[in-house]
Amino acid sequence: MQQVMLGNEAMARGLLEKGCSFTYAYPGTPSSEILPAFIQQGREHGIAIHAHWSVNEKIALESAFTAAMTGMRSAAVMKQVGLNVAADAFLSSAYLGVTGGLVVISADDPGPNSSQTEQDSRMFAMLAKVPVFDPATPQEASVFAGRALDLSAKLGLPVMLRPTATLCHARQNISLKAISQEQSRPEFIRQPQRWAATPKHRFKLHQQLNRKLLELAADPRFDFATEGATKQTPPTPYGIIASGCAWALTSDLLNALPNDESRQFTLYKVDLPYPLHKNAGRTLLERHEKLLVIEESMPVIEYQMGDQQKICGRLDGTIPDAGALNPEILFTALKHFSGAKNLLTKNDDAAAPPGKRPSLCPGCPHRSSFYALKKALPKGIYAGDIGCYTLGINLNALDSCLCMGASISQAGSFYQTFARRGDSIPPIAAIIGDSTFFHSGIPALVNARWEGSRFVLFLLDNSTTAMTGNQPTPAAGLRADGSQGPALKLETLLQGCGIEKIEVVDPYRQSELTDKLKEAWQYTQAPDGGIAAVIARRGCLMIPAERKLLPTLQVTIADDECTGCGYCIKAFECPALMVKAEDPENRVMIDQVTCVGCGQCVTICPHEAIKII
Amino acid sequence: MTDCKLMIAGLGGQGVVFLSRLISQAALLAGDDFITYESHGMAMRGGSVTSQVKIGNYNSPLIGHDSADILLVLAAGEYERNRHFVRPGGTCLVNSKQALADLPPECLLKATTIAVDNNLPKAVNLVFSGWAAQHQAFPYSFELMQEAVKTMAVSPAIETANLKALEIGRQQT
Ligand code: SF4
Ligand code: SF4
Repeated sequence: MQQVMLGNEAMARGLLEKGCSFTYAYPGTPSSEILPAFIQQGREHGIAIHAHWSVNEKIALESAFTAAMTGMRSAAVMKQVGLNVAADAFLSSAYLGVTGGLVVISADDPGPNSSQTEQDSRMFAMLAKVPVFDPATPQEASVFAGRALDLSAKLGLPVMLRPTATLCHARQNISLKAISQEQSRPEFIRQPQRWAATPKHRFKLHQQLNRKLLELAADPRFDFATEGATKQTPPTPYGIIASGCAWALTSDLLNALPNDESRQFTLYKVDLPYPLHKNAGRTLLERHEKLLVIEESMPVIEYQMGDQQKICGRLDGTIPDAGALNPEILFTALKHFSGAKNLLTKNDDAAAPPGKRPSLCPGCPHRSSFYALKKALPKGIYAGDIGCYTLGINLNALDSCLCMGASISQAGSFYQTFARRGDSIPPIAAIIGDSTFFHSGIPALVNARWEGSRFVLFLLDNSTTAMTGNQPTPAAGLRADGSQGPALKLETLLQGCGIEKIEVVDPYRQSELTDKLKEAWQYTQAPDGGIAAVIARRGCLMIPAERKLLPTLQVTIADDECTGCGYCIKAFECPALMVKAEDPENRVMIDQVTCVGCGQCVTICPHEAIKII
Repeated sequence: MTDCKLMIAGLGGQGVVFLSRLISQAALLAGDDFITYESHGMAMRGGSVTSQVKIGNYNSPLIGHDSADILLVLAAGEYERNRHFVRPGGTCLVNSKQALADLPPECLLKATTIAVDNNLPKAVNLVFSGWAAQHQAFPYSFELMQEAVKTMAVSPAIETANLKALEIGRQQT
């Protein structure tokens, strides 16, 4: 049977075909659609599965690992920077191994398009000594998800499946196999010397792990030198070794070349970039004059190839060492690699004008929150965090963004730095969303409170994980599978972290919010003050139920009162506010299709030109 | 077997992804192999987005410069940024109120105005594709696009509205 599937859905399918019944994830582009697809397809086929949005990636991996300690087949799903959060569990799990099967899906984002780094999860797998598959297409990703589970079960090791964004969000017609109906029961065999290994035992486990990897590196199924057109005599002058989406791109490019040009190259595909097959590299080094290694986004295969003399790739600069691969970059690399003998020349230097930058949605409550913050603490340091609200940078209301949860640690450290060495302490705010607060803000807040830091904790509570497609948070109580759990109140959690001043305000009530933020700042300066939390609470408009709560006002700009000063666009940046086309005075109008009628821009205009009718 | 590299450009929220899904659905109905790519994440918040659709024997969804057979543009401002993807002799179809210097009028449609006038402001993408399906370079027939809309509709009401938008687009030629 054929079905159209997103790469992410195909991976979920592959897991189910091979009997995976427990999946844990934290949402993050480009991996977010895997868990919902796992739930949906499992449900459609009546399989008893459990899938959960864990509060962060470390917890997701610990949970999936534990299921695999009882003989179950499980998966932990995250984006590449999520693996940083899960690193502790990931590296340790390779030593302990599993009795069931454990696949860690870590989705990379070369570019980066929606991440703070373009790190290569395969490099992480190498560090952790975990085998890693690199699929090239959605179809292959579904097959490799299953192969990874089987390999994990066979070796008793966690195995990584590493897709990149191009694959996660590629859609393809794919062939499906039956979903496994296997219903094994969990069994926990007590082995404290293994599951709770002390450092002495860890050494032995490390040796065992090394032996398994050596065996795997000799497995003929992963000998990539036998693949491709190897029967050609004599061999082509040039060999190309590629994996994953980089292979897909290369094969399309070679297929598009005229025969006499493509005939110079033989393309080899690596399915398992780590551990790299131990003889294949050497065979190819002997077979070809020169080799080019094409992979994303770091030289994982290249590092393992040995003889660097005959090898081109990222290390010698044939392929750039940053940014996503695209047909133009590959084309240039191929020309460079083959000495441009007679490759087609092509217009590869067309410079495109920059695109429109993303901005918060029309009516987004975050926009009102940022505006109030700038009014309340105009000379403040705004320590930001990760989510839609990182776009506060467009509104000039965000000064830092390091990683998940860092807004709170950074606000605390800004305070300590200025309190101990500065002449005065500027207003400091930590801006963090509800989901990010649950993810890693809580330990940071306990730390800041303990250290005695003082700042305004501005919690933007839109009751969802908006950036990645509105996954529920623990505050909603709703779970990934739609069941209702206990709703964990942010206020109670803040109290539990020792926060004594907490205010909850609707960000649409801008003047009240501004007042509360000023008050909060005063509290941080009071002799017995500390951290003051202001929760701006209004649901994300992407949630249909929240959208129904919109005032839906009719808002327009009076042509004769607008001076064309442009302040509203600069300071508020609602996508519905547009400079009129061909207006000599650059007056602004409201695009009625885009406007959601929130009325939030009305008080912004210094000339009172924006009106509700 | 159809062989076509198609690119769709627009702004987040305009239904670029939906349109590429619709075309892939048509490909599935036609029995063609295809692979497509959509922008996700941060860019979906009103920023520039593109979708790439490769129908035929391909492994990667990415389209290079000078190689798209057809470019569909839902927001006129995105035309400049994406036109270099089109191969010499390829086709560009643009949703635009204004004339564009290097495009003949038959390649332009005021799809937004038409959609708003017909009280279908959220269906600009469908109006546009109903019209685009009339062009020779478009990989599938109008009838197949209708079929695709039907198979993808999640409710009868949506199916009716989407078919209507598609039909309004068809009448624009
Ligand atoms: S609406 Fe007001 S703020 Fe915006 S440009 Fe006109 S006068 Fe300036
Ligand atoms: S009322 Fe103003 S702020 Fe709200 S969506 Fe419309 S233009 Fe934007």
